[in-house]
Parts: sequence; C-alpha cells; structure tokens
Amino acid sequence: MRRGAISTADDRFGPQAVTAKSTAGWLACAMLMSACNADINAELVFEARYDGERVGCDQPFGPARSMHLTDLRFYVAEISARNDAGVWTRAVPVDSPTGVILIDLEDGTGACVNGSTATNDRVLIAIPDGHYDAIRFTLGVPFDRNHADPLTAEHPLDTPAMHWHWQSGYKFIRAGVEVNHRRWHVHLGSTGCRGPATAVSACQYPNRALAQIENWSRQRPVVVALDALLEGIVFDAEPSGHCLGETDNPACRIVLQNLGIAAHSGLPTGAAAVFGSGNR
Amino acid sequence: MISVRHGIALLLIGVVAPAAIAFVARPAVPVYAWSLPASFPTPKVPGNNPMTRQKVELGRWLFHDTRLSVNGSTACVTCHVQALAFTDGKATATGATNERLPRSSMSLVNAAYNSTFDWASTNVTTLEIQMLRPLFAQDPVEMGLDGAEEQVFELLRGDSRYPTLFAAAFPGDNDPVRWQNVVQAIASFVRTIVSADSRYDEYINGSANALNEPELRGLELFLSERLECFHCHGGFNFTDASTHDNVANPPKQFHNTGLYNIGGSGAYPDGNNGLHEITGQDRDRGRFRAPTLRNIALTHPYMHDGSIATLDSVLDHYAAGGRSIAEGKLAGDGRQHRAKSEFVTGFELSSAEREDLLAFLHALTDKSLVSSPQWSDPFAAGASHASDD
Repeated sequence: MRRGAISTADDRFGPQAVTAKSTAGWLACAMLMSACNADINAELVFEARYDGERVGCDQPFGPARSMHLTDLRFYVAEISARNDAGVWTRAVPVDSPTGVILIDLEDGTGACVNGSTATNDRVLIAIPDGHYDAIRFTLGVPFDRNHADPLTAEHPLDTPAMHWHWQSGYKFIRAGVEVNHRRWHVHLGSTGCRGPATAVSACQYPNRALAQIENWSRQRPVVVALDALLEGIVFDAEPSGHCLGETDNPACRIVLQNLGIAAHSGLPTGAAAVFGSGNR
Repeated sequence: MISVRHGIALLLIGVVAPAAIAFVARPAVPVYAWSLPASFPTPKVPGNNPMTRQKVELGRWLFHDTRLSVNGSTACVTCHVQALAFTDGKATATGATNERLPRSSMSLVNAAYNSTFDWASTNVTTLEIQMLRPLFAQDPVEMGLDGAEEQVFELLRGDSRYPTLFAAAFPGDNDPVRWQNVVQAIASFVRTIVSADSRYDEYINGSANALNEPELRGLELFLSERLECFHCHGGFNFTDASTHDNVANPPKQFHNTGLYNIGGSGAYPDGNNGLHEITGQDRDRGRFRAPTLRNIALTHPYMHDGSIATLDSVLDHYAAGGRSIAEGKLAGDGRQHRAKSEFVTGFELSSAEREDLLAFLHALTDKSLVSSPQWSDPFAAGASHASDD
C-alpha cells in the first residue's frame, strides 16, 4: 500500500495521491500551462481470494483446504472510474504504452509449477482530479492489440505464456487449481477468429469480460474471487474438463457464465461477479 | 524434344490455384542466396525475419538442442527426423512429458512454401507463429517451455558455442538469447529445408530417362481426372496449400477425405475435427490441409492421425471414396460424410495401375534431402565450434 500520500478522512482517492512516477508528468503539465487538469494517480491492487480468504501459490485453501492455486494471470484494459456525479472517466495506466496490464498473482512456488517468479498485483492509473467510488475495466486485451505479432509486441504482450498459439491472440485469463491431486485449468480468449494470426479481421466470440467494482477506494483491493470463478466446475470430469476456450465445452460455458459473458455471443451481459471490492 | 508426357508434367508445375495468384512486384533482392532449382519459386519470408546464413546456422543448432525442452528430453529433431523426411514415423507424436499429441508430426519438407501451418488452421500463416505451439503449449505439452523458458535460456547462455552463434545471427543485440530470436533462428533454418532433387525433378528439368516406364504411367494416373490426385496434391510442391513470394493472396485449402463420420453425425474423433476446431462451422468438420507428397514414401503412417499405415492402404482409401468403420466408438461411414471433398469420389484401379502409381509416388523421394549435411545434427558431428560457413 502506498504510504507516501497524505491520508484524509475521506478514503476515496483525491489530490494527495500524486506519486513519484507521475511527478514528471505533473511538472510538465504545470510548466506547459497547457489544458491538462492536474491528474491524480491511484493504484488498483488486485488480490486473489476464495470465500474472502487470501489465496497464494504456497498455501492450500477452499473446502477442507483441498485446493491449491496453480495459475492466475490475466490482462486488464480499458479502465475507467465513476465520480460522485455518476460520470465515468477513462483512467490511463501510467507507464504502460500498450494500455494493457498483465496482473500476475502466481509466483511460481508451490503448485504454480508452470508459473513465473515475477508477479504483478497492481495497476497505476492517472485520472483527472476528483472523488471516485467505482471502477470498471475489461478483462482481456482489446481487439486492436490482440492480434499483433507476438514476436514484436511490447510488454506485457511479449510473454509467450499468455499468447494463445492455436487460436489467434492472447489468453485473456489463465487460471488453474489443483484439487485432490487433479489439476484443472482455464484458458480463455477470443475464439472463432478469422484471418492470419497477425491480421485477424474479426472474432466470432470476443470473450472479454466486464468488471465493475462498487464501493471502491484506494484502501480496498480489487478482489478476484476464485470461488465465483470456479462455481459449478466439476474438477474430476472426464475426459479432461479443462476449459480451453471452446464454446461447446461445458466447463467453458460455466466459466463464461461466471464471468458474465453470454456463450452464444462472447459478449458481456453484465459485470463479472468474480471481481469485487474487498475489505482490508 | 519435349514429349507429351513431359508437357503434362510441366503443366503440373504451374497448377497452383490459378484464381488465387496475383503477380506483385518482386521485392528487393534479399541478401540471402537461396539455392533453389530453376523450377522452384522463392519462398515467402516475413519482412521482420529476413534470411541470413548466420540465423540459419544458429537455427540448425537450436533445432537439434534437447535443452529447448522442459526436461532436456526433446528437441525439434525428435519429431522431425531428417532420415524420415523430417517427420517421426509415428501415428501421433509424444511430447517431452509423455503426453500423447492428437496429430501426426508433419514433415518440414518445403514448409517454407506452406500457405498455412499445422494440419488445420486458417490462422497460423508463418513458421514463427506455428512454432510457438510446439515450444510453449500446455494442452498437450510438447516441448513444455511454458514457465520454463528462462531456465532454458540460462542453459543456452552458459554454453560456450551459443554466444558466438547468437551474436552472429543477431548483431547489435545486447541480450540476444530471447525466445523471439530463438524462434526466428529456427524458422530461418526450417525455411532452408527444400526438397527439389527427386527423380521426378530430374525428369522435369530435362532428363528424359529419369523416370522409368511404370513411373511415367504412374505420373499420368496421378494427373488423370479419373483419380483426381493432382486436385489437392498438385503443383511444384504436390499440395494445393502452397504459396510463394509472388503470390499475394495465398490459397488456404482444406479438404475432408472421408476418414470418419461417427454415427453418421459428421463428427471426427474428439479434438480432431480439423478446421472445425478453429471456425466452429459444420462444413469444416474433418477438413485438413493436404500435405506435400514429396518424399511421401518416407513419411508413413499417413493422414492427420496416422490412421492409414501404408501407401497401399492410402490408395485403397481413395479408391473407395473414403473409409467406413464398422464397429467401435468410431463407427461410421466416412464415404457419406456431407463435407467430404467433391474430388474424393472413388475410382477403379487395376493392380497394374496400382503398382505404377506407387512407383511414381516413390519417385518423389529425394535422396539428397535425407542425407545432406546442411540439415544434420551439429552436436553429433562433435563440432566444438560453430561452423564458419
């Protein structure tokens, strides 16, 4: 948690949340006397939980502590925040030329054997000064970035772990658990994409989820509720039960539903219950 | 003097989906000197990975290096063996961690000319994109680099040969041992695997006695409207799924050859419905790309799942117009598949004609391909330094 900012009684983010990273931009703004409002910064900090309890690679969780996390990485983009007047304003991720952030909540330890030691649990955003109490974002990579050449893509689109080789584009989320020694995972991204991998014209099922976090404040993490993500999944279904993005796969239909995406269209019908505001 | 047969064979060279060819201005002459016969066009090369000798040489080492797998057991060459025309002799391959793959390892011969890659994908149009799957995929695991690539690259950096090879291939790159460069180098090497030296090619290039009488009769059968082989397996590369440098819109041809029709539903075995897995369209069930027939005598067993063991059985399959499976969970009459190619209608073939056709198919074997040192294992050669050439 940021400690450098001056705290106020009002814990929604306000002008005190300027950080070192945005200082240069803020100074440039002031010096140029241009029409930029003094932007403020805030962090969205993500935390994986199951039934309200923190989840990491190294500790069992869930019913009878029978579950282990094996993977949890996903892309976040198109972030916006709602102010007191109910107006949504686009928030710009700081230091992210692609506008896409990879949230990586696994650290390669424990059951996360295919993971990476690197982690990233937060996004730093810049937004016009104001009081905001809700956040929205897209789970996934926007279409205009999703189908570029992964060999020449900028971070965080340069990691082959998130690229989806037999479909085009990226895995928007890859998550997995080990339950009673059986591993189950979901890889989800756009499917039914037409065209060569680096020049896709359209995808039949975009499969990008929408998250809306109510009662948000800087002090509150954005919770990734694994119980909501996995609700209804039967872990020992034959043959594999994994969801690899296929629309006609029963496990995928469950995951899509849990993410608020209509299976027949690949479009969100509402906010994904998987993402919500957590108590500290 | 050009005989009628010679003329027919010359015609065969030019048969590459004529409607799809648009001539574009040739790009600037690349630095790389391809050694191709006159009858072969130049392969398409992605603009961001121009060919160089140094990339090709680095690619040859990486192609043969088992350290490019999660447990050091598997290299590209494991499933793409030179002596077997760069396939592995198995019905379906097995990955580094012993997971069974759903489909047969494709021959890399003339992969530089492929319009699409893998058995059935409209999306995978370059070797570079294709290669990400065998290297990184999890479902199933092939070489298993997902999550392991940094450890693997540390191993490569620690090998005394690689710094020189990488520096030569990627000059000016301060940290060249990265997955992007590994992929580009291997792709460059694979692009050089060109087979153009069979006795059929000798015949095409003017050596009238290069094919004997049975083989010449087999060639005529191959080109006949009765058998229709050339419709899917025509052109200089004996597949319609080819492209080259002068083709603006490469054809993407996929064909259902009536191999399965489970319960009459049109389904192929789970996970092996061909193009349907990409498009979700019913009409794409069981549609796969036609591989090259060059060196076909070496690349048994046949079909996307290796379910036809010999060339003789392949001819049976096409003569019957498809395969009917009487019993078991795959039972169904593939000959009735509603998406079956209109060119797979069955035909009469006498036993003498069968022998001629098989003789011709064997004449597509390129003996220099399987023995040329340019694609051989540099580790086995005991080379302690990178080749200067």
